[in-house]
Amino acid sequence: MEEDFGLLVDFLHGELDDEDVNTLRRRLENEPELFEEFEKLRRTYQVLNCRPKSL
Amino acid sequence: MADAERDLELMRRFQAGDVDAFTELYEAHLRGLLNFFFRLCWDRALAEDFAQETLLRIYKSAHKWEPNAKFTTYLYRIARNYWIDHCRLLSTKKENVSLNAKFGGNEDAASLMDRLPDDIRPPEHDLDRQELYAAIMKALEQLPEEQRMVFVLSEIEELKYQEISEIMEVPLGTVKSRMHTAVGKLQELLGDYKPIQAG
Repeated sequence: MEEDFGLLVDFLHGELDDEDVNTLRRRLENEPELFEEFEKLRRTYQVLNCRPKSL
Repeated sequence: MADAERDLELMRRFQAGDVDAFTELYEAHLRGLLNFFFRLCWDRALAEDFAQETLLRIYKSAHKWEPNAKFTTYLYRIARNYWIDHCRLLSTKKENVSLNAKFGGNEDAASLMDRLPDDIRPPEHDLDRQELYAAIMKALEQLPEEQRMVFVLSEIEELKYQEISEIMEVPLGTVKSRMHTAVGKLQELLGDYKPIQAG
């Protein structure tokens, strides 16, 4: 699970290669738990994106 | 011309004695540096001092620069070293290694807001935004320095892990693991909050 979390973080940061992206997309379609984890992470980033604006 | 190529060309010109080329570099990177330091210390005046000092170090050491990496790698390595030097200096003064200590760990939302410049501080009536800003600032401050720096460089400066690895002079795997741990902690700390619309 920890490994999947890292994979999702890397995915959101555009750090995965095309093959890994495709594999992860397939897994997200087929693994509800992983998808739930992804949604949770996405919400965290939405919150983080509300940080104080740049100077 | 891409930014990276432009930077290399400007550094070459500056090394050849063209001071205007440094002015262009300065103008191109001041804001990025300012925000990098601001995310680390949440203090505009300090961030301005640190950004100026970093650029001064670039100015003074430009003759030693060799174009074997992106200019931003060189720039943020100097910025990172300056930050570390500053933290060391604080620690020798018996203060906490992190600048967090300067501000204390139990600040309420109102005093955290006092640290923000007027132009980005939410209005007093916007309590939701004040609370959220304070939670994010606190959460970022709770990360150990090395994790916070990786997170700031990746998420906020939008640098790739490989470049962060070169800036921080640690293996790529270390950058990844710091990033994953940082995001995991932030998720834990901010999990109960909801995003709000940009104001």
